[in-house]
Amino acid sequence: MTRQILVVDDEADIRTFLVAVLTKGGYNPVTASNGQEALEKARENKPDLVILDLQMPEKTGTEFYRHLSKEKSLKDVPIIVVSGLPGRHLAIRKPVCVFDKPIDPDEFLDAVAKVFQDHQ
Amino acid sequence: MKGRVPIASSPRNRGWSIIIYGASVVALSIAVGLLIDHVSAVLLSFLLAVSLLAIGVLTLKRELDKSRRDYKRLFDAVPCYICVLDRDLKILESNTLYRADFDVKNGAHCYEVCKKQDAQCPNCLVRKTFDDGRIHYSEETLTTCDGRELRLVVHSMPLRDSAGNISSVMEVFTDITDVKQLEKQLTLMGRAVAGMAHRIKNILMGLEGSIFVVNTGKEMHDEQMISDGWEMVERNVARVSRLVVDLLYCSKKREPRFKENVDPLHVAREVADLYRERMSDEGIELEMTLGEVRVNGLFDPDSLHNMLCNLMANAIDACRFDVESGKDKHTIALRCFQNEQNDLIYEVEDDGAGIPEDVKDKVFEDFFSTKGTEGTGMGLLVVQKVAEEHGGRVSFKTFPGKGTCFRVNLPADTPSEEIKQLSAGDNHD
Repeated sequence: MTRQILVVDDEADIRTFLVAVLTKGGYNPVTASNGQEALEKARENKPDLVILDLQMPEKTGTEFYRHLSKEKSLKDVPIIVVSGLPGRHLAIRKPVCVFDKPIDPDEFLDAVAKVFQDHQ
Repeated sequence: MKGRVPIASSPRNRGWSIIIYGASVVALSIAVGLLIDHVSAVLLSFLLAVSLLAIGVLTLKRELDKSRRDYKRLFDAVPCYICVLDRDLKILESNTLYRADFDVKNGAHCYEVCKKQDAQCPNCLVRKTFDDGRIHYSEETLTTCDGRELRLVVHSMPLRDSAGNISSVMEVFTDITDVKQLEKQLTLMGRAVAGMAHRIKNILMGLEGSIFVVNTGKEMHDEQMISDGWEMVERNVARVSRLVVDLLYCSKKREPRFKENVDPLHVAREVADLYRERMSDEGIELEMTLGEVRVNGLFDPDSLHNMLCNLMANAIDACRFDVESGKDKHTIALRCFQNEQNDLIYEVEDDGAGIPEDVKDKVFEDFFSTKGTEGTGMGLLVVQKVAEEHGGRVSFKTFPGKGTCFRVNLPADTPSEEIKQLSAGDNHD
């Protein structure tokens, strides 16, 4: 079954890029441009992984994470943080990894594959 | 011996030479008088010797006076502020420049004159020098009596009496205002270069990403992905284009191209139309207020357009980045009207995030941006430049969390005749 990945980033270019990378890697990406939309998509799609930008309008990435971690069916979904924010690794309790922009497609796909290996 | 002044030529030694020479003449004259054993001759010789001695004393006095005048002239001619202070920090002496730029009264304390204070400064340099006999220095900002703010390096040096005790302390103030200004410009330039490199890097990242998307779309025969990637290419090329236009606008000595019968309201409508769709996408409402405008219409329409675009783009971003407020929707007001002085006013007001207190002073600096990867940091510099080209000014009021209002005030009597003529020449070309 194709893994579903929720991409949460307010920058359209980054979303488009990550969708292309994940599609090429054989995954099924779903996108959201803010924390509020991300929460709705997460409830609706029950993703296997969330790619999260921490610096967004509406609800910031950290607020989205706070909501996500309170929901029983979503709290164990692994999260990869994508952000240029300093101290980003501290904002999310247990991100499986943290990516700085610019993102190398191959490295990114390796990281995603590793997440699914570790969380089988 | 190279470079050393011969002892005999120094005024002090020359004085002594004259006295010794006078005394020798007296002794010789007395000896001659005794030898010829003639009272008149002795008396004559003695008088001659006394005259020579008197001449010697007069010469010494003249040289002393000259030395004093030279010293005074030097003291006054030095291109820095000098004052001499006693232990009570009262000014004993000061040079012309010091007296000209600070309101020096007889017996005044230095802190009253320089700092307009009632008490001595903490860490007083002069006091330190009196205490330890050493030279001390610090940087100070002082305001002259005509209101100029000066950055100064101040040195305090001990002046000793013949017994070696510190009788007074001299303070020398060197004006480094221009150096500091240059230092600030260099810092800004360094930041501008770093900012520029950062912006270009971000755009390149966007372009690399878009190439990846297009190529992946081609590999996977995914038309939608190719189309999305191509849109990314277009967006990033537009960003480069925007950056270059802004850079050229700010760095080049560009003559404004004023045209007659320009309708400022029309410019406002054009810009509103341009941004309407984007604002709708972002959930931002536009409120446009166009008043009656009766100015003669001599403006540079392209510049006005560019200026308003920058203000509108900033306002939209201020709403987009308004994360904390939890507002359901945002509103941007675009206004154009004439005030009571007949000045043309453009206002762009948003109810977005506002400008944080700590960055308020930096908004008109090169490449300053709070928009992360999205801003060029040039927008408000362009706004300021256009306003100034029209003889006007830009100001803003901001309330963090509540919004910002930028106002451009273009005086009714601008552009000047000189600019109009220049522009007329350009337009004929």
